Amino acid sequence: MPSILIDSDSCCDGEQVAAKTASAVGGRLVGEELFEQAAERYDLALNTLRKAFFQGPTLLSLSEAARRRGIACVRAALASELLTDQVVYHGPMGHLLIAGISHVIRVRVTGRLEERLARLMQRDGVSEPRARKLLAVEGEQRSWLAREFFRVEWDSPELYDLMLDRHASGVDGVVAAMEQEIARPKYRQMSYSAQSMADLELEARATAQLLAIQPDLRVQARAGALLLQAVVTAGQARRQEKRLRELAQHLDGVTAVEVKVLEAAMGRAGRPLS
Amino acid sequence: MTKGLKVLVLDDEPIVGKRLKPALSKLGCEVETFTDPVEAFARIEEKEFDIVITDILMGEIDGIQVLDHAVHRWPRCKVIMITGYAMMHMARQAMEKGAFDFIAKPFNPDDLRAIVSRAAEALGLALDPASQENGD
Repeated sequence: MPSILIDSDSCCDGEQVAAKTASAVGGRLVGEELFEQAAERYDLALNTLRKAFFQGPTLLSLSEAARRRGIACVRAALASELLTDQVVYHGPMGHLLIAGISHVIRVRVTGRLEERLARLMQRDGVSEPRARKLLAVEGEQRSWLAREFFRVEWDSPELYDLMLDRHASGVDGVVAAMEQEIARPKYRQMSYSAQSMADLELEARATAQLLAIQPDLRVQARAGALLLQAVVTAGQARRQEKRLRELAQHLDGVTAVEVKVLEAAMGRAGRPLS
Repeated sequence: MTKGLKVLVLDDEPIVGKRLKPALSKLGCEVETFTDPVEAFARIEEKEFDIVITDILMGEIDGIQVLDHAVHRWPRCKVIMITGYAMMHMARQAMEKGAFDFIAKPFNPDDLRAIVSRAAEALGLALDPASQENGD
């Protein structure tokens, strides 16, 4: 059965939609407890992982390397969930963390601004100007994170398989639409998509582990074989290549490791996460 | 004794048919191989195959058209797509049109054998390696 990744505007009953969808399709609901799993698995502070996704770029915010690693660890945790079960995930950036898997459906649940403002004002007891500011900041943060770390506009329609308006359809209407969509044969798991998911999980897990020692590492995985690419400071190539290879070889599911390390003349090149 | 599964293999690279025919014959399948999609199309029109294994990108007629033709002509036929240029939209298109499975090249022969076994099971048939040895 296919899995569903739900990305929702705030104050749109996204959690309720996800819970009802999981119940309707018989899937396992996964929410932001994923962050706790990732924190434990990769020995990072939960607060660091939350900052990676929800804190904008400020003088005192996470470094680029720390944010990149935080995103990678949550991605790896989500990929691990998707390997084992039919999952309904509701959390930040699911549609960007996991892409290109034909049996994983990416859904955006939107809401009308005026409805969201009213909900936020009631929930948090804030004025309308304050609520507008909060929603604007939230949107800017998502846009920045998507552009900076995924090189996309986070709400581009082509990134989603389905876009649903919560306020036009109601929660039950959104759930019904997802139930109908998930039943389409095109989302059925096949040998190719199962292998793609296994490759993505290995790549995500290797990335999460190895970014700790090589912040600009790029990883590709196919059928157990890893290709690691990095740029290091002059004189470090041989040592770092050996270190990366040794660590990668001990990861579960790895059958072969190829490492390509270049020495930079000055500093390191920044690379997108995916 | 169960008759051999009737399998058609279509790939414009001759090596694919040459490798798959003996591998599938060992499972007790009766295999016909084609490199020309037009000829394969005509063969599917005249004969019911249990399983069609087809490449996708082949020129004049692509594998999606072969899939469409096979499942409409013979609704119980199981079509397995193979391609060296696998992409998500292509895979989804094939599944939406009724493909049984979709596998990317290069693939492990054991993986294809497993898919063929599942297809046979879905057809309510059993693979019978002995039937090939006995010339059935």
